[in-house]
Amino acid sequence: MKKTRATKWVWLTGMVVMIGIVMAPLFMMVKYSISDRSSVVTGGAVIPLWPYHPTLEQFRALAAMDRFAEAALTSLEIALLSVVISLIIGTPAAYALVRHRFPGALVLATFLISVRFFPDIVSVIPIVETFTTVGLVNSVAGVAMAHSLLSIPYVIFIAMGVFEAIPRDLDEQAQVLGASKAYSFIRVILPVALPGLAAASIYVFLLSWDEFIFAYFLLIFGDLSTLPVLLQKILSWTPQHNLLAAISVMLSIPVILFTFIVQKYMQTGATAGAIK
Amino acid sequence: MATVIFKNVCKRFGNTKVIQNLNLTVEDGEFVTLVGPSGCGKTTTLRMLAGLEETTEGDIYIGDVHANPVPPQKRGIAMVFQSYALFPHMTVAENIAFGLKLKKSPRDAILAKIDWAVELLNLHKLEGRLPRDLSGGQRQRVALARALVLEPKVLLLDEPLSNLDATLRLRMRAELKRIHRRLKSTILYVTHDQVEAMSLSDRIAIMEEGKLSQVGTPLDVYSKPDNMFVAGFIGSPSINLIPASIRENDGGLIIDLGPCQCGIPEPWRETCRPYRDREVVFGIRPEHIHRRDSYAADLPDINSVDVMVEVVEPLGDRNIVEARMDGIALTLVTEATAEAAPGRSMPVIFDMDRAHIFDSDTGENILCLPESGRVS
Amino acid sequence: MHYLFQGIRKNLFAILILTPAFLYLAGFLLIILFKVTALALTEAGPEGAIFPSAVNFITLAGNPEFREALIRTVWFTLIGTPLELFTGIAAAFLVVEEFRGRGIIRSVLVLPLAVPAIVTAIILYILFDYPGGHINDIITGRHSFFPFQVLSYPINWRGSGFFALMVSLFGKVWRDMPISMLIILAGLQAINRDQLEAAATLGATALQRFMRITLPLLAPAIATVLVLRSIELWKEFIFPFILAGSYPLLSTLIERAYHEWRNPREASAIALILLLLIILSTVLIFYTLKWLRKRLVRI
Ligand SMILES: Nc1ncnc2c1ncn2[C@@H]1O[C@H](COP(=O)(O)OP(=O)(O)OP(=O)(O)O)[C@@H](O)[C@H]1O
Ligand SMILES: [Mg+2]
Repeated sequence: MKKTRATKWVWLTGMVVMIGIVMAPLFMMVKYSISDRSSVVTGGAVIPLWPYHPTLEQFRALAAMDRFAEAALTSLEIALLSVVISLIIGTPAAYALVRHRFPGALVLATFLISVRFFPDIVSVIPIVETFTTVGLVNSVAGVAMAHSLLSIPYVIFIAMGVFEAIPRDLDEQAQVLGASKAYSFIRVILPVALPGLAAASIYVFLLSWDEFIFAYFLLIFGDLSTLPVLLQKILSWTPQHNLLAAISVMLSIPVILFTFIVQKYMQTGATAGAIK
Repeated sequence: MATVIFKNVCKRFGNTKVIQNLNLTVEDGEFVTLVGPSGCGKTTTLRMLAGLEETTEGDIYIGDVHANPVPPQKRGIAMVFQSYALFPHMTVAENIAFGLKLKKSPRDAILAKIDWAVELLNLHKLEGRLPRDLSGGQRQRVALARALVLEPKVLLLDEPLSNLDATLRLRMRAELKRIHRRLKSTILYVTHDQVEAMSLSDRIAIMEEGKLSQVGTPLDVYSKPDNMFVAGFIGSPSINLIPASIRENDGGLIIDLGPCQCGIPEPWRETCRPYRDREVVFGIRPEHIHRRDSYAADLPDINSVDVMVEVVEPLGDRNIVEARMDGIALTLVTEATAEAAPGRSMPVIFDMDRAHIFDSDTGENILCLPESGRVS
Repeated sequence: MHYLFQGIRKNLFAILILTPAFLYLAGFLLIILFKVTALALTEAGPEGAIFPSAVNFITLAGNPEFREALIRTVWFTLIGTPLELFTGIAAAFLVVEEFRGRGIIRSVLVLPLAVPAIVTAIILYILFDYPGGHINDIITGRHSFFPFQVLSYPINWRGSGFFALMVSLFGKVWRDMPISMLIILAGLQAINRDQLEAAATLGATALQRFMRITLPLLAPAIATVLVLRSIELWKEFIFPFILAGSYPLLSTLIERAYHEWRNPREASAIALILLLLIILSTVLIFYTLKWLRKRLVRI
């Protein structure tokens, strides 16, 4: 349909406003992270839009800070463990749901996937109470297990899509050539599904890396922290704006990077050359 | 190598009957082709034999083994899928070696087998490539190689040539024939293409809506079709099927097509007599209708008629002529030299020795019923 | 019995590889539901626990803090859900048409999703500081690029329930905008241009086209956004936790009950109430939309 001048201006204004609102907080995060003390603590004067003396001292401080390194390591351990748990548990289930259309498979799939709609704030207290009795609070494994509860439904959902895109002929061909179901799943289908599953695991990694509620409730009384929990703890001790912003930057960078990598990865055809 | 036996095999998906009471024996080393229209159950038959689909009723034997409870990987069969189903993450050599590795063959034997297959199927220099870097014909040959190295008791091929272009299809057809002659494997082959079926097979099995219509040598199904469906399916261009009736005439029997009457040859008179004054369908192949002047003049004149030429399709060596005989459409084949122009009339003659008469209710070929003279 | 046995044997592999996921998810869900209900219905009496007991709910009903949190949560969701929808629709309409650089713009608009929620909350905490945050500097006209004095005094954002929750809501909507945008965008792109042009040739005005064609065809996408977003808003935790600590919603009240009151039973009771509210509101939205959709396409 034809665009009038007026609609074009409305569009342009909307675009500028929208991008401004999206970018402003991100800009501020970066700005604060490189601010020197005089640009943050101004003693009543206006806070500058760009630091008087841009500096990397906050990042240097972080590098020297044991708590930060520990928290980053803990975050990494938890995220990797939850990727491993949820892939090992979720991927085979997705394969079974896609390839073996037994009665009730669809209902089961819907149930398993919709577990992710269960409110985390409702499940956190029963989980903490249960984990306390079995000694899983204040532990990497406990948080990773809780995160897997959130991510397994996502793995099942993404992996089902991946497996559906792989022609059934491949499994059947492998079986006709002498492979058992397990062998054809592990040696034929999984390698073909790898790019899609890589995307799923990045997604799951980020889910855990970002997660706050379970990590907070499970770690609050111990000395372990993930990065989000550390951020909250520092906020409640000393709201030092430039330090908070520097941690925020460190926390966000992998997420922003990976989000764009995943986007690209998804588009690589997994089955090029397999058929036709 | 093994004999394959389908015994009273039925297959239902839910309530739809896809295969009904299939009885078929494929002899050791035989090349049998399943043909039939789309959806008639050819693929389902192969998949049941491969063990990818369970039979609803009936038994399948491979060799002397009752195969029903045997899982696909233990049946000793190999199947080439219509889509080839090459494993995209494995090279050509790895694809070919897949089944051998599973059998735990020693490495030397595997390498020797790969060489053998590469030689047989002309895959030189492609061993290290991934499937996505192969042409359609090459993929097809890799799929075949992957199946052949296993020395399967039975080789199943589901429309293996349908994704190739016409030239390649002809080449691969010759290749398949050569391979079969060399390996003497039992092959069950599925195709849509009746020319392919005729040229490759020892025997052809024609299926219609889940039932076997006829099984026989290519020549048999062509010259002695059991019923109207087979007659119509085999042969190109298709057989002419004209409603007619059988009548007594001067002590002889004639078949009345309306515009003309043809005498029924002596050997079949007794077979046809019970159908006197009943509706039947007269079948004659286009290549068995001749121009009168080009054909032996001693045929009885009664079998000839003038037809009106409507369309001429020159094929080079011969012409396909669409004509009309008082409103009845007729296809015939003439020599390329024969002059036939649209709008002109042409005298033709039916070769009654090669004509068929079908029961219009059951569709059966009256002349091929067990008690008739034509079954040798 | 025989058939069951055969069915199990035939699908043994599938059952085998499905079991871990099923046990994990269903097991956790069972434990969670059992535990939360059990806790909520337990009374910590002087001589041991009493079960079942409604005392936790009765105490909560009499607790003004709970009542306020409930009211705040309802408002938070009521205002937030349409807001999330409108920002999503607005963003989607901005990028639905082809233009130069659309790919980049779209990636930029997806950025909020890639920023951890806690980070967004912290940034807003800094920006809406009192008395000397950026936002306060701007509205009191202290920046040269915006020399209008909206107010003569700075606002104590975190010191007022209304402002604190508005800032939380802003953060929530900011972060979720890409999700709504992507869902609506998918819906918009499924609408055939021809349909709109056909309607135009039939004499429909722009508004009529929007109301009669775009909106009904967009209804499934809108329904998805509304259902998903309202669930999210009911249970939103991070933003109010960081930005509105003194003005709890039900979700942050659960935390307070658990950590400050040291009362897991009341915390569970609140959680149970929240769960019921979410289920009720989802069902309600679902049926309202069904009814609305029928009205929109009526002749
Ligand atoms: N899994 C299934 N569930 C239900 N019906 C099926 C299934 N597989 C096949 N059918 C039906 O069975 C019939 C036979 O299918 P089949 O694939 O054997 O046909 P075909 O002869 O190979 O056809 P084509 O020449 O098109 O490949 C078809 O009507 C098909 O719709
Ligand atoms: Mg088929």
